Amino acid sequence: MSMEKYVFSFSTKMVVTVSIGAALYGVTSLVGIPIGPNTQIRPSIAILTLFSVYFGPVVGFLVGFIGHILTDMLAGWGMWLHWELVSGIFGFAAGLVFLFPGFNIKCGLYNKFHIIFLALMGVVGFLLGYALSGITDIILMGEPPSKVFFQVTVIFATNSFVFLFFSIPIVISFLFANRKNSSLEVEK
Amino acid sequence: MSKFGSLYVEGDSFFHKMNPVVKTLMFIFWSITVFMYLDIRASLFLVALGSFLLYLSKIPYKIIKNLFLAVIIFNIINAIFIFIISPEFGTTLAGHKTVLIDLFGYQIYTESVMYVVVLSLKYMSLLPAAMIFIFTTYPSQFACSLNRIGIPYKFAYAFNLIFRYLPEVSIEFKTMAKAQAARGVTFGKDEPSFWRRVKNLFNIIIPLMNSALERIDAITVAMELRSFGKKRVRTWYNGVSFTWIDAMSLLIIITMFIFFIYIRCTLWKGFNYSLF
Repeated sequence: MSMEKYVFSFSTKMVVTVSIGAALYGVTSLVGIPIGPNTQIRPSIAILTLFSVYFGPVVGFLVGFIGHILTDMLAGWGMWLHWELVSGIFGFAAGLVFLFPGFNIKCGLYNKFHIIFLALMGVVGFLLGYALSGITDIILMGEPPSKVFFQVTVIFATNSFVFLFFSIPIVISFLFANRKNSSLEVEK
Repeated sequence: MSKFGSLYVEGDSFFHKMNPVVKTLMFIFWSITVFMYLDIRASLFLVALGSFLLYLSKIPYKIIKNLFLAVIIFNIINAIFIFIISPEFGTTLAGHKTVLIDLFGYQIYTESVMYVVVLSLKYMSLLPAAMIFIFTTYPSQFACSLNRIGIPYKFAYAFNLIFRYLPEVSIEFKTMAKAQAARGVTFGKDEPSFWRRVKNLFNIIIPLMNSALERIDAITVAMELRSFGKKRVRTWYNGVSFTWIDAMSLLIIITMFIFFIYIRCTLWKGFNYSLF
């Protein structure tokens, strides 16, 4: 298994990764367990987090953005580009952990700091994304600010909760599973 | 419309023959036009124009009906939220208050009601352009036309790949869900414990992700074996060319866009809910 990491290489593999990732994210976003009006616990956030962590921020952004457009098209809600951008921003933020030289999910390399960084960046990504789309909704659609604020807060809280308590454990389990691939250890 | 798979609807209408890039531009300009106005006259005009274009596009009535129903339900929920959280926003925008109904001390203002109506129409007027784009564009042709306007074919080809693998990925997801259900790990409504349901749903991600990673490698190797990305240009099976009809359509779209900007800057500024 190679240790090389590319943030952005315009290769065939990158094109295929973005396509399969977007298709997978788009399809799994249609599945969820309802926990309230218009709110669902969706496994797709974990898929997006994994793609970001595996392939970096650029792939994370594209998978999130294109995949979310696909979901809205498949579910029949039309296109809402500024809400779809939220997934892209989240994918980008979650993928930043990929840039650390000591972190490699393919080989199961990580430490505690990386996990905390991933958790923090994911929440920051949601915060930025939803703040941006909320402001866009106020400016472009002319929605009342207090209503948008309420809406955005609820969505932000649910998604951050799912991210922190369901996606991160899955990332950790992947790190654990992949660690078995390397029988070598650094001597101290 | 099947829930999974390509959304393209076969047909030979004007929009089916239109160059996908022109359609993309139409969608973008249409959205910007909708965003510019908070005016009932503009929204009504755009809904009417959009409905006419939808009629021209010959998309089956069933699909249109479902989408409009979805937007109407969304608008109703949105309206309820607005009335609960910020009932006086419409009066702030209009700058004056007129009491429409007095419900035991809770006043409903005409401006608030009309604001919700205008907002709902605005959401509805956003729909037609997106629908025309989604249902009349064949993914391969979209990829080809993106390539024709100078976007590298490697990037454009991603749109082909997505729609090629969408059905396979969704079938795989269903198969895995069934396989897990066979060994008692379900996430359906029959599972009694809520947390067990959530846990089981997230458990499917592990095999799904692993198979996706394998699939990525397999497809990459297959594509590279056929020298994808070796040459600078490639030819397309579903090629589309830029005809003079496309040029005319583009000219009309841009003219109308400029006209709408002009109206916005001179006549119909800000929030307005009266028809005349």
